[in-house]
Amino acid sequence: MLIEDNEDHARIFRWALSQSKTTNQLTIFQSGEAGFEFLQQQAQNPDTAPDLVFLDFNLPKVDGREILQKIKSNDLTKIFPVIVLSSSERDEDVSIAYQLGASSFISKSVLLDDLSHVLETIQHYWTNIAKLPQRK
Amino acid sequence: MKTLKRQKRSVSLGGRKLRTSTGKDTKTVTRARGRSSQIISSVAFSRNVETFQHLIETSPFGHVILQDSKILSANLMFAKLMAFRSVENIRGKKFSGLLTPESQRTFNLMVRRLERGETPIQKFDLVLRRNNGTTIDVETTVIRCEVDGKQAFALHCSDITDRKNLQRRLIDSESLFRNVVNSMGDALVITDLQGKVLDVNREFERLTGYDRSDAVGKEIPYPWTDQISMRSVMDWLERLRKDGSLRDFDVTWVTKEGRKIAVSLNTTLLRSSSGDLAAMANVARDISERQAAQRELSNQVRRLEVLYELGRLLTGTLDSQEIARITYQQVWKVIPFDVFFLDLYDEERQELRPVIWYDRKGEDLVEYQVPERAVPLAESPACVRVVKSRKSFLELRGSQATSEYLRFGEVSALSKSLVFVPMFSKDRIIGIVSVQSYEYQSYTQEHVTLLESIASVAAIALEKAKLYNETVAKSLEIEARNKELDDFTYVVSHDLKEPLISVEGYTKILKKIYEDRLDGEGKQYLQSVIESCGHMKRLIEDLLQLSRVSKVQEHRTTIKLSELVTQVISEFEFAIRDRKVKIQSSDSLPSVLGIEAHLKIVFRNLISNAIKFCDKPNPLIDITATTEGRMAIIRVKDNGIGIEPQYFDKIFMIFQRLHKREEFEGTGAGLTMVKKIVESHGGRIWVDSTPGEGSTFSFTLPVP
Repeated sequence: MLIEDNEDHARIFRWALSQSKTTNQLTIFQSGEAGFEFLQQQAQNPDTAPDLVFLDFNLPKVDGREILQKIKSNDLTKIFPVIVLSSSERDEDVSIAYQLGASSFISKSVLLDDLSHVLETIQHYWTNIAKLPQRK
Repeated sequence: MKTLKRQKRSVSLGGRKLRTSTGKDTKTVTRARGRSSQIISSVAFSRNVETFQHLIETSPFGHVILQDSKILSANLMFAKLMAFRSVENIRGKKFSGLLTPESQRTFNLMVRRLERGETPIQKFDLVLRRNNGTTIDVETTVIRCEVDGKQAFALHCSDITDRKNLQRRLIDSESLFRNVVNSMGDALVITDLQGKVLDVNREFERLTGYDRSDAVGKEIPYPWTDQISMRSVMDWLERLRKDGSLRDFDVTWVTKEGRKIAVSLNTTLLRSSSGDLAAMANVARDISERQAAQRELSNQVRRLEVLYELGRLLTGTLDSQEIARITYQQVWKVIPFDVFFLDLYDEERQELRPVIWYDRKGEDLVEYQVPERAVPLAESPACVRVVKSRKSFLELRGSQATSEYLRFGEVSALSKSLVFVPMFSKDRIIGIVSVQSYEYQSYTQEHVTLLESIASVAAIALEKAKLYNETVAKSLEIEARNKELDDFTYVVSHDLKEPLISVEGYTKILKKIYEDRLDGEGKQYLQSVIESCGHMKRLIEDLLQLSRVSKVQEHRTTIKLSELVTQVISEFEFAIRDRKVKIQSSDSLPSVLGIEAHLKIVFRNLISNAIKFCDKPNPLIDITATTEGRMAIIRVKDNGIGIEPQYFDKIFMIFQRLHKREEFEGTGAGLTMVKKIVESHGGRIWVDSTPGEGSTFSFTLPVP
């Protein structure tokens, strides 16, 4: 799933994902609250629970940082790997993201360099290399 | 006893011829004696007449017989007393002519009393005028007798000059003594051993207001003894008994009008001629003035101390509230008050800003909350008066009158004595300080002057605090503005980035999906869009970095420049290999104080610029450094295209580019950032260049 307020960014992301060899479904939420609520609801449903959460760090209203904190402090949602996407490359932002429990921090610029390739790599890493917790 | 006979004239007056008296003489004498005393019988007398005559002749006393006021006869001693050579010379003289006028009166009185038959005649003193012009005092007795059947008077005179002189001397010495005692500048009280007053002098009368008659006979406690110092009076007696004398014993006396005076007593025990203790002499000196002078002196010292202390304490603070409180505490030490306030005054706005307000609440002075807002001057009549007159004023209210100045925070309703003092800085009034008392007549001009001195010291501190706070506020404002600017830069850059990412993303999608369907021109446009996006991204990144340089507040550490430069050089591995760049750096680069990441940016930018702006086949970069005092001067020299002198300043301005982007890559933010970093380290940067030959960028950094 992707939590991204910028529709263009979401669209580009979706396109990039479609270009990769992945077969995964992408659910997009434009606000942090909605995304968090969905995560909470679907956390225990092995069919609908997302494998990965992509989170834009700069969201309107409730900031990405806050959502990350919420996800990581909630017993149901904290097991989901959260990959932070950010247009900023500030050291502080990177530090905060990891401090709050992000699994990765990826600059949007990097993502853009070779859209589908980067996403494929991520997909490959998280589904084939890393082992994720089993959902009941 | 007088011997009288008819022939006495020849006997006595002849002095040396003795004649046997006749029966008639004897009879006369007998008669005469019988009249006077009837002690000696005529027989015995006649037998002894010669002896008597001799006795009289040689008597050490003067004897004279008068008849009809004239000297009938006299003995030799009388002649001598009168400074005549012989008895003959004096016989027949009028006796009154030998007397001073006063003695004549005395003598005539005596004669009249004798004639009236009054007896006995007591001794009386006469003053005789001697032949040599001097006078002689004699003690005289006189009796009435008859000579030749006629009334006569017999006088016995003894020289009492010595006694008189002694007496005179006594009188003189006593009056001398009294004069001395009265002219003493100190009060004298003579008492007996029990303290009963025997005598006092004039100074005592003047000092205490008690007359001599009031004082003499008084016993302890004296009416002029202060009740409170009674104990010290007893102490005084005790010590006196022990030591026999006392020096500089301070007691308080009360005058007849009730005024208290401080006196210093010196007491001596007086002995009589027999050596017994007889009396005490207490010399009392009025030391009220001395004490007042001492008090005044110690007051002055105290005031100086307060001023000094105030100055000392005020150097330690830059807070007007604190300054006001310290001032309040110091004023309290020298001026008693029930109300104290200090307002700051803003001349431009005509406003008062209350800083501190103390008022009495029962026993305590309570600090009241002063209003936060400024008060228009016009609302404070007393302050208006101070500001308009530019002078202090002292108001002492009568018991009925209420002050025209009645605003809480300015005048207490209970205040009856008020002092208002302006606080000057140069010629401006920057504040007003006031002390007020609930008592009538609490203050004098002296208090005003004192408060003025204190106010002037406090004013300096207040002005200093004001300047400091203004400076701080200004630098905070500048800092805030800078931060605002940096935040703005950051936010703007970030917001710019968002749509840029979209543009770049879509362009890349376009390229991927539709590139094949575009002709050559279309492909080129698409490529231009992508490149522009890239350039835009770098611009934004540079801006972000620039804003970050000023945002990060890191502690400086000691950095070995030689190591740092080596690291940076290694980043240019590819340029060195591909463009055959040669970078030399001195082995003896110094250590500097700084932020490592920032200094890396400096060298990275300078080196990359040097490589970028080089048209030579073998770019050469030389990094050297020298140390001058507390600063290291680092030079980065290249053999590039160089810069025209008119651009030396311009190159450091943001986004200033001297060349077309097609010629040289770059955003124009690099040198701006370098400059910002160097300056944030307390250094400066400049460039020397010869166009076509190369440039040298020099900058300074602090050494540890």
